Amino acid sequence: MRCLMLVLTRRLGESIAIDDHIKIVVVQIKGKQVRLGIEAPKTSVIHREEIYNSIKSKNKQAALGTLEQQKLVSKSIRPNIN
Amino acid sequence: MIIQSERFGSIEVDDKEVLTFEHHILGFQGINEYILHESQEDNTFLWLQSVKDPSVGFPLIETEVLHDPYLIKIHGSDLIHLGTTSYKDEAIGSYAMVSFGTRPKSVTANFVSPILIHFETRKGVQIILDSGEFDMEAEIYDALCKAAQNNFFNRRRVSFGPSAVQRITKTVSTPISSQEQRYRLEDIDYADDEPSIH
Repeated sequence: MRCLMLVLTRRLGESIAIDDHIKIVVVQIKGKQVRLGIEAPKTSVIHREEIYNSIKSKNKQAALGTLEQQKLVSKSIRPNIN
Repeated sequence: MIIQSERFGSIEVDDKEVLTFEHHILGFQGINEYILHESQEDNTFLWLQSVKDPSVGFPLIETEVLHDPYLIKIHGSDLIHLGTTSYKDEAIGSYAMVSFGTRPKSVTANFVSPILIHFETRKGVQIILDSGEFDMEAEIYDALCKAAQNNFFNRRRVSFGPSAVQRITKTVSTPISSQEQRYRLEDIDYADDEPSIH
């Protein structure tokens, strides 16, 4: 799904509503840093994007694992395994 | 039902064994149903195998085997994804995703985003622990050796159906871990998750 970016200008204390249930508030602006407050239902998963991306690539790396690689580890740690 | 997998060929499982990840595993959108599979030939790792995509599977290992103690905070939203509102230790299994390297010793596990599985509701979720105290590429070779010496892999539960809960309790109480309580449920105050920098 391709998303387009909507760009809005907001002042300190102002907010953005997403659908009926998500609200993002500009809490603090300091130099190049902006603190945002996010009000969302408990089921929403919210994280900094960098951590999302690093987990995504780690997941993809794990999914490349093969049975041959598993066997190599198994033989090394469990000499009695066939 | 019969599941096709690239690694294991056809796997026959009871429909009740299917685990639903309502929130997909990051990077694998649209794949929400998995089974937990243990190969008979080599049971060092468990595999989270996609029900509909034969190529998608992740090697997993129980977090308590490798990381002692593994005290994690489960957010309210994660519990909702597990289909519960109350926290029950014996029903929730916690697993780290494993990445293999070129040598056996370069095997690592991801403790930042463990897979939690609730064996009663049959729901799973990959949670994110971004407190900075856990490692995404933790070396686990030595811990695996120790687990092998304790005969962990052959004593692990063999069934992951709804009746597996009792067996999980046994796994949890393996002597490898001295801590009884592995998880702490704490509601996080999202507004204060990061101290202000002055």
